[in-house]
This record gives sequence, C-alpha cells and structure tokens, in this order.
Amino acid sequence: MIAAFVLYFIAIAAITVYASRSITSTSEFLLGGRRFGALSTAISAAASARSSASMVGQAGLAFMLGFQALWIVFAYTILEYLAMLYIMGPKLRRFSARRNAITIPEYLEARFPNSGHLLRVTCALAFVVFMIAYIVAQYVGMSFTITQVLDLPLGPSIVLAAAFTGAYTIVGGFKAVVYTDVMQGIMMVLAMLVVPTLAWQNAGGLDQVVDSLHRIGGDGLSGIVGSSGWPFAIGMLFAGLGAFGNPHIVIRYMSVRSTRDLRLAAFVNLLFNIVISWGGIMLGLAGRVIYEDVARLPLQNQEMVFFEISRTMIGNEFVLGLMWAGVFAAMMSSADSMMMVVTSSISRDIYEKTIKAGQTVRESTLVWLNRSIVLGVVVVSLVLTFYLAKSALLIALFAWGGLGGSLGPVVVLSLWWTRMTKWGALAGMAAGMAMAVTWRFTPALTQVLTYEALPAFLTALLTAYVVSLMTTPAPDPTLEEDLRFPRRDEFDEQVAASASGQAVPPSSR
Amino acid sequence: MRDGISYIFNRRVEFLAGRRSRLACYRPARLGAAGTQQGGSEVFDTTHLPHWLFLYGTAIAYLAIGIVVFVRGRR
Repeated sequence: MIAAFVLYFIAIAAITVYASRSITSTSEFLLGGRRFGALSTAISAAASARSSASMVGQAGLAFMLGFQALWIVFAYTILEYLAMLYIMGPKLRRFSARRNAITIPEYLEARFPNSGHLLRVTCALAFVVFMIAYIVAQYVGMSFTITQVLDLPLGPSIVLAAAFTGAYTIVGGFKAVVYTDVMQGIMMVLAMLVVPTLAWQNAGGLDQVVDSLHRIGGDGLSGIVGSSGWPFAIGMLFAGLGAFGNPHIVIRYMSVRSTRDLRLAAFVNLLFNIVISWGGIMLGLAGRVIYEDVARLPLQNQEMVFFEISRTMIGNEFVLGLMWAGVFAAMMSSADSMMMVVTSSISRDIYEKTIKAGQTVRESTLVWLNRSIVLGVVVVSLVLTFYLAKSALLIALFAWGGLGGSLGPVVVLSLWWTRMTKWGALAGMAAGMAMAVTWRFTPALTQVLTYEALPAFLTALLTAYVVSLMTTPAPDPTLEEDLRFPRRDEFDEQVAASASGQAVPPSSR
Repeated sequence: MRDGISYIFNRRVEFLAGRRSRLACYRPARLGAAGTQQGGSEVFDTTHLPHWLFLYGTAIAYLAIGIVVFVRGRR
C-alpha cells in the first residue's frame, strides 16, 4: 500500500518540476498564462470542487441519514455545469481577458472601474478568511488518511499533509496545481467507481439496500425525504448555489484557453461530478447496510466508511493504496487550489494593486512574493488546524454557503446586467454575508430551512438589484461590447491572445 | 433437426421471458394489473420505483442532458 502512495508522490513531484520551468511572471504563477485546454480545465475544476467533504463526508452523511443525503448532490451537479457552460464561464473568460483581470476581486474592479479599491479589497479579504478555513478542513481530512496508511499519530500526519501540498504549490504555481489536479481527478474517479461498486454489490443492489435500510432505521433512513424532512431536503438542494461564488471553482472559467473549450470542459466536469457524487452517496448507503451501526467503524466515525469498506473488499495492497491515494488526492487538489486563491488575493489584489498601486514591481520579485505567501498560508493554516480540527468541516460548509450566497449572486448579476453599480455589488455582498451568518446562528431559521445558501443568495440578489437601481452606474463606453456573450468565431482571437499571455488588444475589440 | 430448432426456440422464449419479468419490475402497477401473479411470483413490483428514479434516474437524466447539449453544440 505504501508503494502506491510513494508512486503517487513521485508523479506529483515530476509534474511540479515540469510546471515550474516556465514560471517567469505573476500571470504564469497565478493563472498559468490562460493556456489550459478543455480537458485539464474540466478535470481540474471537478477535482478542486470535490474535496474531502465529497469523498468521505458525503459517504459519511449517507451512512447516517440514508437516502435523503442524495438531495445534496442534485443542485451543485447541474449548477456547476450550467455555470461553466452558460451562466458564468463564457462571459467571465472573455471579459477578464479583455480587461486583463486574473483574479475574481480584479474582475469586480474591472467591471466597476470607479470603485477605487473598495470592492477588490473587501472581496480579497473575504477570500483569505473563508479559503483558509477551507484549507484547514482539507488538512484535517488528509491527516486522517495518513494516520490510516502510515499508522502515524494525528499531529505529525497534519504536518506531513501540509508540507507536501505546500511544497508543490510553492514550486509549480497554478500550472502545477492544474496538472496535478488532472492526475488527482482521474484517481478520484477510479476510486469512486471501484469502491462504491464493490460495496453496492456486496450490499445486494438497490432493492436489498432499500429494504435493509428500512429494517435498520425505518422510513427515516430509507425514505426519499427522511427523518429530517423537507427543510433539510430543500435546504441541501439549494446548497448547490455555492458553486457560483466559490473562487477555487470560478477561477477555472477564467484560465481556460478559449470560451469554445468550455463546452467540452462542462461536459467532462459533469461526468466527473456524477461519478464522484453519486458514488459517494451509494458507498455510504451500502456501508450502512453492511455495518449497520457506526460503532462498528474505526474511530466510531461514519466518515471512515470508505476506508473500512475498501480495506475489507480489496485484497491487493497496491490497489488498495491507489484507492486511498484517490481520497488523498481529492483533499490535496482542493487545498492547493484554495492556497492559490488566498495567494492571489494577498499578492495581486492587496499588495500589487492596492498597496503598490501605480508603482512598477518587478515580475521576478512578485513570483518570489507569491511563493512566500503560499508558505505563509501553509503555516497559518497548519497552526489553525490544531485549534479548529474538530469544527473544520462545519466551517468549510459555512464557507461554501457564505461565499456562494454573497459573492455568487453579485458576480452572476454583474455579468448579465450592465446597469449594475458598484454600490449594488457592495451592498449585495454585505447583505448576503449578513444573511448567511444570521441564518446559520439562528436555530428558529435553520428549522425552516437547514442550510443558509438559498436565503443568503436571494437576499444578495435582491439587495444588489434594488441598490443598483437607486444609484447611478459609472460611464463605461466599452462595457456592452466587453460583457457580451462570445461569438463562435472569437476562438482564434482568444487563443492568439492567451499564447502571448496578454489581454485581447484594443484593436481587435 | 426439429428437436434442435425447438430447443433453440424454447431457450429464446425463456430468455425473453426472463428479461421481460426483470424489466417489468419497474413498470407502474396499473399497467400490469391483469398479470401481477405469474407462477406464484410477483412480476409487477413497483415498491422501489421512487428510489430507482431518485438514485439512478437523476444521474441518467443529467447524463442525457450533458450528451444532448454537447452533441448539439458541436454542429
């Protein structure tokens, strides 16, 4: 089993060395020069979006809640698909290239040119806080895997997980993150095809699983709307709205080589999401049938169901190691992408464009600054992991809904409504965030709807709309043209622009 | 010769009958009201149809949407 992990780490190191050779500018380090094809964009987006929560978390949830856990995966699967294909991807890619924006806060500043640095800094600070919380959750998940594989205590496992993920992100930047994500995405899909299939067969198939769940926990476990009722089902269904506002996913739409590649990217992303998400739920359901009680799982933790089932059913140690490396890959591919978001927020949005605004900073200095920031993010996240380990997954869930419910509607509205103003964007983000926090910490509200994403999303959308109508948009003569949906014949123009690492020149606008 | 043909024919009928009964498990009950009992076994069992649609049906529907949009977009 250790041989499979060693092989996996060697492959990651080789990809990192390859990716690091061409890094000479900030754009290369933070966005890989916008030269990623459809397949790498698709697999990388799916691998980044599906983290420890998807692989072991959803399986654990299905183990505890039964069939109703499936509500979680419906919306984000189709919303991520629509976001990449139509709602966000094409316009965001085209607009950000024309205005030379390489981060989401930078996109907002380019979209609302008279906003000073207010929007950019607010958004960047929100990313830093929420993404670090997310990274902590990934470190916790990774260290659980290491404890199982190497039989190490939790503390050294956390340090090992952080050190390895940090090392290849520092050396290889965004390009290493995307290329390693591709390999990790394939490993995740293999793991989620093999282990749930074995478990499902062992549990006896659909009929047997439904009957057994009914015997173990009655309708609460076997029902489509189970013990938690409709507030849970609808709340979790709309958790998918988080897909619009989570920067580690949305940034992939900006890094693709051309808008035409987004169609294949969206399709492959959809396939990956179906396999990983449905596989996770089926694994948890089968696991409940096989083990019946959480007390029979290691550490009495329902999230160990993946490890326990694969350990029992896969005889070959090397294959077992590959399956576990697939879970490790899910967490690592998310953590590295989140580290890149935090790094770009600090170096590009806060340092280069705000503190050093109007001054020229050498590209080589910026690349080294970026690498230092990644190191800083690793250290801070590592320290926080030891304090927040127990509530890490809860924080990650809040970050997903909070960002999706505040930033998501603002970015979507800004792409489709030219009348929107900077005050509308700011008010929308603030109102969405306030609603997310209020909803999360008010038990009476969570009884109405379990998850805060939907109320936060609607509040942000409505506030941004009303405040925009009450204020005057800044004059922007090229906004209509820059923000329109791309034509089919713009493919060559985009490829040529991305090959030179520049924005589309004004002459071709 | 004739025994051979009849053997193959019978095997074919058995095969089709087997397929039909498996497929029939997921048909709505009203379609099979006249033949719910055949040889002592229940053919038209709709007990798990909602779960089938909930688990497999949603995944198949998404896959179909993805394929249709992708193929139409290539034209």
